[in-house]
Amino acid sequence: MKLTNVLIIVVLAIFLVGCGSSGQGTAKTNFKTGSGGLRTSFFNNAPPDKIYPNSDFRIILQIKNEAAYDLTAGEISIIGLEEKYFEVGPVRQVFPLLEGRSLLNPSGGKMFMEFEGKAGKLFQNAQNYRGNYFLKTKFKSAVEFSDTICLSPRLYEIYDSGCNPQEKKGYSGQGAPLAITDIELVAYPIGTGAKIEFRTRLKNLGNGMISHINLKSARLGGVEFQECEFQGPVVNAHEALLSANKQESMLLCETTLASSSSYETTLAFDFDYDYEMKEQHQLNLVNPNVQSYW
Amino acid sequence: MGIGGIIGGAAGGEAGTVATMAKYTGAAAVGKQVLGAGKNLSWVLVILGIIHYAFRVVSGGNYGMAFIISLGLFVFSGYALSQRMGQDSKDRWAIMFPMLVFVMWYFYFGASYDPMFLAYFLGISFGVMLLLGIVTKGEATKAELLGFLPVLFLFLDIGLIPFLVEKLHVQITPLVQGLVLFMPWWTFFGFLTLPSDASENSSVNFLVNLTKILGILYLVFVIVAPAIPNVGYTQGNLPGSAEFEDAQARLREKLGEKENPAVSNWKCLIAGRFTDLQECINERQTNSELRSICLAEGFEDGSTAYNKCITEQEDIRKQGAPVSGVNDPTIKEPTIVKMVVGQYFPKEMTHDTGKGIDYPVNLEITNPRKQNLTFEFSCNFTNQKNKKENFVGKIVSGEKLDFDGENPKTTVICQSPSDKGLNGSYKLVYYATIKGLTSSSKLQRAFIGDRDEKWKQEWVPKIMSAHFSSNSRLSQGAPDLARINFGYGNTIEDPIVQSKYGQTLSSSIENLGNGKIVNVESYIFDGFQGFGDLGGEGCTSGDKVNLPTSGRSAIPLKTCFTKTMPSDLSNPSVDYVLKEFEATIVYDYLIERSTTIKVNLVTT
Repeated sequence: MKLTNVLIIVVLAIFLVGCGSSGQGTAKTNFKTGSGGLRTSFFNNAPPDKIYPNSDFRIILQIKNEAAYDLTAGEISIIGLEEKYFEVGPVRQVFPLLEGRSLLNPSGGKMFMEFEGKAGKLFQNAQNYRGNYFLKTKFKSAVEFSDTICLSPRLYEIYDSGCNPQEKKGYSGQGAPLAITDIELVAYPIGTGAKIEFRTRLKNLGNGMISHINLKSARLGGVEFQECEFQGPVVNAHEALLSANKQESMLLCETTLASSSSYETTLAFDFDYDYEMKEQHQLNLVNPNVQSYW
Repeated sequence: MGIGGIIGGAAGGEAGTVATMAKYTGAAAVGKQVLGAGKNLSWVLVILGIIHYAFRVVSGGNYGMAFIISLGLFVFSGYALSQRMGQDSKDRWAIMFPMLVFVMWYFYFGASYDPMFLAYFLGISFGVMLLLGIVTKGEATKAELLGFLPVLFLFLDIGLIPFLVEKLHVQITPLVQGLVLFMPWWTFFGFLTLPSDASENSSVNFLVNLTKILGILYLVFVIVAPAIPNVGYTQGNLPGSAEFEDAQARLREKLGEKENPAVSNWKCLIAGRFTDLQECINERQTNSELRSICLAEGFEDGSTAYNKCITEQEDIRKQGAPVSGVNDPTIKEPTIVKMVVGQYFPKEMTHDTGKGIDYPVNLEITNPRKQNLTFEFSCNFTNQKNKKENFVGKIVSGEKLDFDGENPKTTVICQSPSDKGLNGSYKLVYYATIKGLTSSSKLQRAFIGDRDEKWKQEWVPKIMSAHFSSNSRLSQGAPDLARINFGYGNTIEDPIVQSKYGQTLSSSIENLGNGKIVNVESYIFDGFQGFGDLGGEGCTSGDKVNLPTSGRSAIPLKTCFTKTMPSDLSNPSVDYVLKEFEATIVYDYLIERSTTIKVNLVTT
């Protein structure tokens, strides 16, 4: 075979394989992985690195939803600026909805928020004033979990022709800062069946703070659990309270298995939670008569 | 190698060093000779160091001479160090080389900090040092490193740390200031270079070695304790010799009222007060300060009036410590007034009558805020031999002058009386009263309203870290001649203000210069509108403040209390509100500049 023919076949093969891979990848994209959340960033030069006395400036904030779920009831505040130096308005702005990542919107919802600012004058002949402030972001969101698991009333018996149950399974995230990180399965034999307990650990994998987690639904094989209860500080059995020091909670769900042999089924949870982020930033008011030294 | 290692190399292991020296020169006899020479030079350095120290303390204003002597001792110390190492000329050069590098950098290249220059200069210098090390097969390396010791001592002696305090506003504790200023550094260097058998007498040898050890501990403490910041300028920011000496003299003058902290420490240890050592030191420091105040006011030690003065001063202190404040680190140019005796000043002259002689000094003002200042001048002559012979001179350049520029300069001429001839040595004192100076300070507080513990646990550390790190919880003002310090809050030093508790406002005026606050025309606080009782008489504004009799004490202003605050602060619409308050004083300040003059009458 001539070298030219070989090259043509190789190029065609690469082309075909390339096309095939691409189509397959798109079809299988799963947004509900990882722990992405709301990302904030400032627009170029807004605010500027140096602000001069008695000048106007703008703070333009880009917010982007990198979670796989919608963010609702959003609110952004600027806190801690001394009005003598930086007068910013409005100090609070809201965003009712910011769409999550999905097939229709793979990069997630994005929007800009603009704050108008006016700089005051420096104290006496000071060279500069550095105003630290907090950007506080609040919103509500949700997280869903679904997995296929193997259930067996006799968890520790190895002579079972069915599936192979796992005592503990770990997870890296379901596309939101709040994530189920591991589920432990405990079985107590009762008669021919068994009582099964799921110990589900939820953790905040983001940089912000969660104060409440609300369990909306917990289903095994499409049927609601007989009993589910958050452990630790709670409002009620289905609503957990998280402290600043401990951003995790444990949910216990129980059900009874009638079957005597192992089988595979689906486990699903839905949660709501509220989220709050505080990021520290700085505005620099500089004396135009002083040569820059930083 | 660390400094301890270098010093250890010089001072530690004396017997070993003697043996090394013998090996170095190749003959024991020569080694003995070297030891003798080393001993002599080191003892000479000890004595010269004491004389130099005494001269500096006694002479006060003779900065130039003290610096020249320091430089002489710097060269001499290098020679003594090389003698201590051995007679080999290559060692001497190896020791002298870093000293030469320093002298070139400081005097010839103007202490340039330019990074490019430093890269070349240090590169070449270290290259030469490396070459010397290679040529001597490593023997010169130790000597080269030891050569940095005289450089270090020169810096310590001519007042690097006082300069950092005054010019760069580095916060150094009073203990360290005292330790630096009250050390005769060249004497210590002399001790350091003495061999362990410096004398035939074993007790003397023991004392010499003990002095060395204590001296090294002293030096290590002085070097390690203060945090020296980065110098953020590119070149030429190190001071001239006069600035070094001037800064040191002023700082010593300030601290001179108190006992040297090191002395207090020792006396308390000797007194056996191990369990309350710090309390004992504080007591001694306070007592010595009170003593100096009362003696300065002219009371005879031990007299009834003196004892009454001490009691009064103790009462003033018991009323509470004055409110603290700090220099604003963002204000690099404070208001400064200096009277400088120039090089054309006729310190000594021969005159036919001694009458009507003009003595000019330069008045240099740094007025960055372009204040309108009025100066009133006067001068006075006092005979050095007969202190009772005291008479005023005439300011012929104008007794009252107004300035408003940023850097005004003028010459103030004091003329000796036309009816009284000068003959001999006199102390000439210039007085300048600056009228209408203003100085302001600011203070920030975070108003959080009434919050629960959970909120406070989360937010308070964040607020403290963002707004009140280091000294920013205290009021900050320009390091002018005087500064108003104030505190406000549930407690005056707590920057987090909660609405459910009452609040206190307290303030005082601090004298930061070397002169005297002679009048406080008025004071006013801005930002306290809507704070209930703080608006009362004398709280947030006032005039004509009563001044204490002793010039250095802080001047306390009225302390006020309120339970009220504006609604936007008691119930903030966001998590917390940061608010800045400002206080301003208008005052008059007296500065003095003294110098000695000598007039020799022409004899016919």
